[in-house]
Amino acid sequence: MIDKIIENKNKIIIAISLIAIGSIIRILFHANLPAFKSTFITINGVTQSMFILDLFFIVAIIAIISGLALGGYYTFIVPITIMIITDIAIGNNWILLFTWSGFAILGLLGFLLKSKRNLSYKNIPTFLGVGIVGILIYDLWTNFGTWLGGFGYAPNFSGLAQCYTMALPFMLWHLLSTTIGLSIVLITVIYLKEHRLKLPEVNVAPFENQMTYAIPVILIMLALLSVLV
Amino acid sequence: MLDFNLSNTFINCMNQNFKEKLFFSLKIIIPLIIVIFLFLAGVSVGVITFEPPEKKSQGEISALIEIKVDNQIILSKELTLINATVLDFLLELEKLGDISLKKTYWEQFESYVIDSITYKTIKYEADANHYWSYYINDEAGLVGADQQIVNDENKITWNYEEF
Repeated sequence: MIDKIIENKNKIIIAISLIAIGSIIRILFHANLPAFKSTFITINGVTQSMFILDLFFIVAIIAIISGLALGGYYTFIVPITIMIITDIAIGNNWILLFTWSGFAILGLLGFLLKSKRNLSYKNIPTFLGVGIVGILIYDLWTNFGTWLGGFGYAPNFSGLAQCYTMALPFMLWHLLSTTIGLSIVLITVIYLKEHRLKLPEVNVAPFENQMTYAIPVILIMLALLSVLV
Repeated sequence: MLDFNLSNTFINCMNQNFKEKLFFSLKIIIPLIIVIFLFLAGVSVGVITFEPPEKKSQGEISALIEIKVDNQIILSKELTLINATVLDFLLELEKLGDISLKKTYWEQFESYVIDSITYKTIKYEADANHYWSYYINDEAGLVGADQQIVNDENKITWNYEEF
C-alpha cells in the first residue's frame, strides 16, 4: 500500500491540489457573484439576462483535467470530492446526484480524450469541442433531473420546454466560461509540459479502467432512482 | 537532378506544414465566426437585446392572494394595488399584519427568494426539504416574484412545496 502511494505520489499531489483549488474557490465565491445586466435574451416569451453567473466552470475544468492528466479513479474522485466538500459547506438539495453524475461524465470525457489524443497544441480544438459537448450533456441531464423532480414545472413536454428555457442563461454562461477557462488551462499545461513539467504517466489497470466507466453510470442510475422512487 | 528533387521535397514539406497550420486555424476561426454570426442574428431579430424588460404600467389591479401549505389554503385575501408585482402583494399581506416574511436578494439572479413565511406563529421555512413557490392562475411563475407583474383578476398562490 505504501509502495503504491509512493509510486503515485505525483498524481496524489496534483489531485489534492485540484481538490483544494476547486473547493476553496467554490466556497469563497458562490454567494458573491454579480448579476449580468447588459444583455438579455427572449425565448419562449420569457426575457431573462443572457448569462446567469455561477462557478460550474471551475469544477467542470477540474473534472476534465482530472480525466485528461490523471485518469483512472482520479477521473471521478477529484470532481466528486470537491462537490462533497463544498455541498457540506454551502448546502445542496435532492438534485445533487444529478450534478455529481454530470461532473463524473465530464471527467470521463477527459479520460476518453487522453486515451485517444496527446496533450499538444494541435489537439486543443478537439479538446474544446469535446468540452462543449460535455457541457451540453451536463446541462441537458441536470435540467432533465430538475423537471423530473417536479421542481415547479408541469409534468409534460411544455413543462420540460419551460425548464430548459429557464436554464438557458446558465447554459450560455457555462459554455462561455468553461470554453475560455479550459483554453487558458490547456495552453498553460501544454506549455509547461513542453518546457519543464513532467506529467505523471496515465497507466490504468484493467479493473480501474472498468470502474472509471462504471461509476458515472452508477451515479446516473442512483440519480434516476432518487427521483422516481 | 538531385537539387531539383531536394527542392521538390522542401516545397512538399512547406505545403504540408502550411496545410496543417491552415486546418488548425480554421478549427478555431470557423466556430468563432458561427458564434458571432448567431449573436448578430439574435440581435437583429430581437431575441438578444441590451435593455432590461420594461415593467408595463397596470394601474389599479385587484387580485386574490392565497397561501397554501400541505395543499390546504391557510390564508386567502383579495387585495387592490397599483402597478404591483407578485412580491408586492405578499409584502402587502405583511403590512396588514397577516404574515411576517423573510426574504433574500440573490444578486446573480437579480431576484428575491422567500426564506420563510410566518402565519399565526407557525414559521414555514425554506430548507433542505422545502421551498416557497408562486403560481399565477395555477401556472408556475417563470421569473422572480419581484419581476412578475400581476394583472387584474389574477389569482396568486404561494405554495409551501417539498422537494
